[in-house]
Amino acid sequence: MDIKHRDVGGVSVLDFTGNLDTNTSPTAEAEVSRLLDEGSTKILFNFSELNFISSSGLRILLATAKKLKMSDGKMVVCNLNDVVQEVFDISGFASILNLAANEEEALASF
Amino acid sequence: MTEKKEKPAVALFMSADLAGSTAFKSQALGDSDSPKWLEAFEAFFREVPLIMMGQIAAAFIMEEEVPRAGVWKVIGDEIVFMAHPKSSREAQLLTIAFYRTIVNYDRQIFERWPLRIKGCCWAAQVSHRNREIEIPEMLGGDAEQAYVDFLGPDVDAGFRLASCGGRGQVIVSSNLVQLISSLDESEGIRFHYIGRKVLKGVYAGRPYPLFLMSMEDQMPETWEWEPEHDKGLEELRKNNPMEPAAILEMLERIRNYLNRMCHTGIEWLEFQAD
Repeated sequence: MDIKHRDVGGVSVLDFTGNLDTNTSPTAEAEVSRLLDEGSTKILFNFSELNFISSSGLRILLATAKKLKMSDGKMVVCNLNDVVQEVFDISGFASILNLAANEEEALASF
Repeated sequence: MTEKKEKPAVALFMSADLAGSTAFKSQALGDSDSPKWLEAFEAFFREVPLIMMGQIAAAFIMEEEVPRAGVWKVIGDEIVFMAHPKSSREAQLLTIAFYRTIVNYDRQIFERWPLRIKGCCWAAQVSHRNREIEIPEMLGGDAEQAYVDFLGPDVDAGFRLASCGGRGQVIVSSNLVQLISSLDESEGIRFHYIGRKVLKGVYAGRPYPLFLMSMEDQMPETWEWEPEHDKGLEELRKNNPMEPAAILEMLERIRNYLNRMCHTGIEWLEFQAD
């Protein structure tokens, strides 16, 4: 898995490539923690190149959403492929987190 | 000045087990390259951890943090989740999340295949009594962290206890029942005492008290024509849970007796944050 960070108009955009699973979630968690420690309050998870997410990946999203809520921040997830969308539907995360169809729509929601 | 003694961590184990899977595997062979039963098993292993994470999100919706919880082991037709709750409250909410996972998925899987699932939830204080051990030879670790396993009488008790629950039911260890029953807010958790059973190597061979869990707003699915029409099924259908005060009194009497007469060293769970 690879994560690239961009700043778009004050929003920290994380571009994920590959699989976010048990093996790769510690890397993702460290990257998100670094952003939060630096004071980011607007984070966009761009999953356009993410192939799969497991329950351990979902836990990172949940933990991030909670931390941002405490600092009056916001988190959005966008560009889910069919496999990732199914994971969100089965787990119920589709109705828990803020989802957007694409990056443009996601950025407009901040 | 005396230093505050640090209480050891608590490990919470939650087992989801497919019931009726052996018969299903032999009956659902199909005639294609992959047997029909494979689809059900793939769905079970893929969906249950996702539903569990969704239920954790729901249970912790008002909390500031969410504890680490994930799949610890897969043993045959069984998924065992493990978490390190930091407080009684976290242990209680994780137990609720697990219960709802089992009851909801039991209904879902039964709609698709002739299968049910059953659950067991138990806890161990990782102390002199139960230990974490690293197993370097085991796959699953990485360069920085070896695979970690848990050994001890309270860990073993859970695996024995898991066989005592029925389809659609969640059976809970006595130390976890004691912990949850002692909390001021029940959050809707109820326990049904269904009797005692000797579990090999547990409680010095004395009968172990068996409790099934239910929630005020969600009962397990019970079918009177299940093959194991047992005491647990009857108690759930009566919908007559035991009062927390009565549970605490009974469990304390058992613990006092076993520790005095059999030197079992049974301890109730303690958290640093409580």
